[in-house]
Amino acid sequence: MTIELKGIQKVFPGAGAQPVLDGVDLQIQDNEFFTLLGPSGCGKTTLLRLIAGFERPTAGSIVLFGKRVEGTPPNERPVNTVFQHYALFPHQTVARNVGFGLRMLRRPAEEIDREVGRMLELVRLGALADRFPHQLSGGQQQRVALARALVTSPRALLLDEPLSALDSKLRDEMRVELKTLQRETGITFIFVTHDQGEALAMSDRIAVLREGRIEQMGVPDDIYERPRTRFVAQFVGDMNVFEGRLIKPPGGPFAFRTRSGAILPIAESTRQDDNAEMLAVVRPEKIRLALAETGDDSQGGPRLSGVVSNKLYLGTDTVYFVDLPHGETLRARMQNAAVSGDSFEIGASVLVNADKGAFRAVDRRP
Amino acid sequence: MTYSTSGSDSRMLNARHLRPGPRGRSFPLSRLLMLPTIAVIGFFLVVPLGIIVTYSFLEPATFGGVVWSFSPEAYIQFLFERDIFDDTLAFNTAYLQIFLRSVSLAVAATLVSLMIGFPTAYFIATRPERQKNILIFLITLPFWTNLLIRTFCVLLILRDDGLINTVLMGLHIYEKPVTYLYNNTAMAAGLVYSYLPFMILPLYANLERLDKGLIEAAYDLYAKPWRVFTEVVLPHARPGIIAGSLLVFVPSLGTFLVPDMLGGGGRLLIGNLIQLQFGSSRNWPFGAALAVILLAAILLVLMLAASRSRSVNVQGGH
Repeated sequence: MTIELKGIQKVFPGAGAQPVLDGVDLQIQDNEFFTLLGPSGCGKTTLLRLIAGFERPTAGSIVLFGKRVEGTPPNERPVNTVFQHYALFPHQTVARNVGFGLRMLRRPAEEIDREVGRMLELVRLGALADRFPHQLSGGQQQRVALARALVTSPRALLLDEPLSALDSKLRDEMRVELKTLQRETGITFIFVTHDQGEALAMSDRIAVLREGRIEQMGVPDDIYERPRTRFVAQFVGDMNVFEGRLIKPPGGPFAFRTRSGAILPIAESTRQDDNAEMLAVVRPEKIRLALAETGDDSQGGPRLSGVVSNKLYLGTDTVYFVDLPHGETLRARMQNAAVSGDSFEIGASVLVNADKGAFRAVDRRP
Repeated sequence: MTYSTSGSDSRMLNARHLRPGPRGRSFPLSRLLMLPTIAVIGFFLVVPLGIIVTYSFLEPATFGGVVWSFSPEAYIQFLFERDIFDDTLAFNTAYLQIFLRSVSLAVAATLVSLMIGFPTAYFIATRPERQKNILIFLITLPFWTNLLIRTFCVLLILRDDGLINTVLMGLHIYEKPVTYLYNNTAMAAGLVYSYLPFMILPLYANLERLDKGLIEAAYDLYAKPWRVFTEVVLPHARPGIIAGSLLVFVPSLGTFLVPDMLGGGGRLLIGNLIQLQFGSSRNWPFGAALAVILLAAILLVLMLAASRSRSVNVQGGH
């Protein structure tokens, strides 16, 4: 076990004294790319700062590599941080920035030179060793910050929204680079982000945080396909949500009656009791639309019909807004696979098809 | 792009030309706004300076004022003593000693101000916004009172029957009053007290812009607190240290109030010496020459500081 947090609570003194973190338990494995995902104010950065040592927990224990460290200052913890705005030392060259940690550890000069050179090659900045941070682009600064944090071979790297200051094209490149870097170095990465796409693309495991608590933890596929709460369902990706009650016919499969009366088949439910007030959720891209006259390929899925009331053309996909007869609106995301045509006009009557497992019931708890 | 003021343009001076901004083609308003400053500096700095330099090369009149004939005597007098009988020159360090005493006192006052001012400025800069404003307001509070009165108050505190001695004797720590006044330490204390705000304010302005993330980054990368200070805080603060030191050093070097009141008048500094020449000694050219020497010394320090901060800039500062 690399990093273990138990019962972490953090209360900042002052206004309200609402805990920023409240009973967080986490175990992060060696060589894992672990992501803390959540909206701003959920406590994810505070959690990272607790691991780095910039804050002390109000309650709970932090164990790094078998050693309790709640009172250990950051300069004695074998973890390094990549800051959101990089925090490069403005008066030092790229090479001196990267060598900073090794100098503080009083490593011999030739070792520092060697390691800095090796690290600058790794992040492809060898040619810029003598530049100053303000002479670099955002992406280059980002890579210097990475090299500086990695050169001392920390046992874990903490990354605080490291990509948020980059423009979107560069961000996509850096995602791949980070992932590659993590695989090559074999160092545990703890990555903080509010961007669910980033989290899904890079992580081995994700913890979704909300108001100081872990809402759900699991592999990306788990988080995306099997959200357990409304918050996770709506925060990670796009989701159709219907309020209503679970129906459990004796022996038969689950079904769901929406508030306005539509019946949906349910593949999986977080609760089992009949008539429980729950939410039915389905991803827009799991839904297939067909013109009403062409017929039904629901293969045991739901049988719903509706009228296209609006559509958004997104290039790769088109999102259709389908008004169901009982008053609810369903979003369906259809891939624009064909070269042209093959779309539904506003006002068209459509059948809503989906695979059997597409609809799930989750807790109503907000 | 040029700002040429061609004849036809200036004759056509209208609202368009008065519009401020970098692209004003003929006569930008911003230049007009400079005129009062140029007038004030021209009249009240350049002209008096010219008078001083001129006077320093003239001969003194018997009852003050100058005789209009050229003489380098004033500068010779600074370093040499002229024998009254045979006119031979002998090297005399009396004035040089006063000058050096002034410099070392100013250096001491600057160093002490820096040692007190830096932690203070750092403390204020790291407070929450509301507290910062209050604390900075408190730092500027002494400026509400005249320097003479403030120096007099220091005298009241330090003198034999002053506040400190009264308290110490009241507590029976000492039976007889301790003399704090009329020595170099008292003068340095007076200088520090007078000019400390000039050290704190530029340092505060500088440290307030220090990114807290840099300190955390250094701390995260295994730096001990002392190394965080030398590697991150100090390089950032260098321009503030230079500015604050100059603002304390320069007025300290020219002071005459502090030695008069806290030095007891017996320990001359260059400021008093100059004052004396225009007063009771009635040797205006020598006073002017001393002022020019002082000015030259200060300019030298300023140029050193400027070249120093330029080399810092080349190193990649801001």
